[in-house]
This record gives sequence, structure tokens and C-alpha cells, in this order.
Amino acid sequence: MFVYIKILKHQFNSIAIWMHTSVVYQKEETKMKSPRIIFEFTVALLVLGTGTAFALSGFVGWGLTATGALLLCASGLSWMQSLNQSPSTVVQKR
Amino acid sequence: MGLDIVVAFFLLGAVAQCLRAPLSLPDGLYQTLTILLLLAIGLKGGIALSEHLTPTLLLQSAAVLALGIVLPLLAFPLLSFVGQLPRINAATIAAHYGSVSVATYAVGVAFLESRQIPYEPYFPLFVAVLEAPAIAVGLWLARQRKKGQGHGQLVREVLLNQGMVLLLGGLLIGWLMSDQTGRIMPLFGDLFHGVLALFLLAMGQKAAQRWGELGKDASFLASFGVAMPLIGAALGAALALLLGLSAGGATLLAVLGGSASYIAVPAAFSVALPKADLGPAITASLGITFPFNVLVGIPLYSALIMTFFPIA
Repeated sequence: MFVYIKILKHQFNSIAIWMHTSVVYQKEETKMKSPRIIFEFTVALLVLGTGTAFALSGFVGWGLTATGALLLCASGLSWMQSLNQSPSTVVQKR
Repeated sequence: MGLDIVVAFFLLGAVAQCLRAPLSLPDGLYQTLTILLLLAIGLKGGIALSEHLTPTLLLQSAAVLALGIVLPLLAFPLLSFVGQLPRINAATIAAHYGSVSVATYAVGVAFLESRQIPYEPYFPLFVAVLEAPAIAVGLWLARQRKKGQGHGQLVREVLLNQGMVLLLGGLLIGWLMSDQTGRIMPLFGDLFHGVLALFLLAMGQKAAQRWGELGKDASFLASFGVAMPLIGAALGAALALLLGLSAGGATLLAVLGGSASYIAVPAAFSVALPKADLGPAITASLGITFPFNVLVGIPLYSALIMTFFPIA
């Protein structure tokens, strides 16, 4: 039980550090890249939402939904990668 | 099953490439299939042109030409201001998305024919009309033409590239000798779907090869490669509505608006703008937009047009 709590605490701390880094990064670094990130997530969510609505109504297949899901994954991965490469993260690591 | 049989060959090529299966199609075969497809599309259009050449068609061609100018002008701000790509690269990618892909058009035609949906038979003329204007707009947007280079070489590359020569040549032969085409149609007409299936097998391989080359702009190019065909297709469909085309014609104009070039534009830009990085443009058009249009886009455009558009 104690080990589980330790693991959970460690996980919680990791998430907290990651979120803090994200906020710092958002403030300092994403000013330049924010239109691109917003565009990527907007396209992914629009495609995913429209595709799901169309597919559920039996209008077209699930291709558009799958495309939206892939785009969302790609955008998320790219955003997380950019967080890891940001100078603020480097400063924190140091 | 909803998947078109020729599209299944595209998936086969892509899956074989992803699994690194030893599927080697000779370059010569790919070239031969490209020539056959371009001539078949041109001839078909030429035969139709001999029956339908009217002033209305010239007006429609002018409107389609305008679409070819508008598309790169829409793509450029997305790439330059939103994507923050260097001006020259943004202009290069914009030109690719303003021009058309004959292979995507061929899949669109196969899709309509398999469902027996009629369309205007002179559409190959629009394909030829849409090839060139985006190149001129892209070069104007880049405004960095090679110093000391005459216009001659560029004009030659734009108007005399393989795609343009075969498409327009086929169109002209079909138009002027429509009464004799019956003798060659077993090769260019009856075998069209088989040739297209083999061509798509090769294209599936080529598209999958490109997926690893997206680089640091991968997620942005993927988003752009899906968003731009949807914008282009919407504009194409709207133009078809304005021109009073049939539902099949509207689908094909949506397909043309949504497709991106990966043969004619790179050839022209490599001559006119040697500094331009063609890699991201070809990867986005061939690796993202072509598979998206073939697998998702064409059935989607067709379904939307058949349902919502008040056209015959």
C-alpha cells in the first residue's frame, strides 16, 4: 500500500512539474508558435467532431473521424515535444 | 464493402511499404502507367470536346482558371502567418496546393463511374486549365526568381512538362480525330481501371515512403494537408454550383479543388526557384493530401454534394 502511495505521489509530482513547465512555456515561448498550435488543434477537433457526427448519422464512414483522431494525436505529440525542447524546460532541468 | 476496388490497391501498396515487403515496381512501369493515364484522360476529354465546344464552356474554363489563382492565395497566409514557414517555402507549398493532381482526378472519375454517376465529359479540359496558374501565383508570392534567368525556360517548364504535353496532346488528338478513336480505345478506355489500380499500387508505396520525411513541421503539415483540401473542395463545389454543373461535375470540381500537385509544380519550381525546399511540399501533397483525398475526401465530397446541393 505504502509503495502504491509513493508511486502515486511520484506520478502526481511529475504531472505537477509538467503542468508548471507547460504554463511557463505557454507564457514565454508559445507566443511565437501559438497560432500554429491553435491551428493544429482546431483542425484536428473540427475534423474529429464533424467526422463523428457524420459517421453516427450514417452519412459517411469513419474515415474522417480516424483522420481527426490521428491529427489530434500528432498535434498533442508535437506540443509535448515542443515543451520538452523549450528553453524554460532546459533552465528548469539545470 | 464501401471501399472502391482501385483504392484497395493504394492501401496494398502503402501497407506493403510499411511492412517493408519486397514489392519492387520498376520505375519504367510507373512512368508507362502515368503516360497511359494522362493520354486516356486527355483522349476521353477530347472526344467529349468535339461534341460540347460552346461559348459556355469557355466561360466555365475562365472561372476554373480563377479558382486556380485563388487557391494558392488562400493557402499562402495559412502557411506563412499561421505556420510561420519561410516565405519561399510557404509560396512553394501554396503553389502545389493551387495546382491539381491528375491521379486524384482519375480516382474521382473511377469513383463516379463505379457508381454510375454522370458528369460533364469535357472535364479533362479543366484539369489542364488548373495545372498552370498556381505556378505563376506561387512564383509571384515567392518573388525570388533566379537572377539572370529568362522567362523562356520557366514558360517551357510550365507549359511543356510531361503532364501538360500528354494531357493537352491527348485532348487535341481526341478532339480532332474523334471519329478514329474507336481503334485505340481498347487500350485507353477499357483498360483504364486496371491501369489505375496498378498506378495506385505504386502510389501507395511512394506515399508511405514519404511519411518518414515530414520532419519538424510534421504535425502542422499534416493539419494543413487535411484542412486545405477541404477548403479547396468547398470552393470547387461552390463554383460548380455557380456554373450550374451536374452533381458528378460538382464532385469532380471539388476533387480538383481539393487535390495538390506533386509532379508538374515541383518540376517547374526546381527550374524557377532552385532555392526552394521542395521536400515538405511534395511530402505534404503526396504523403498526406493524396491519401486523404483517395481514402476519405472523394467519398465525402460526393456524399455531401449528392445530399445538400440543389443540382441536377
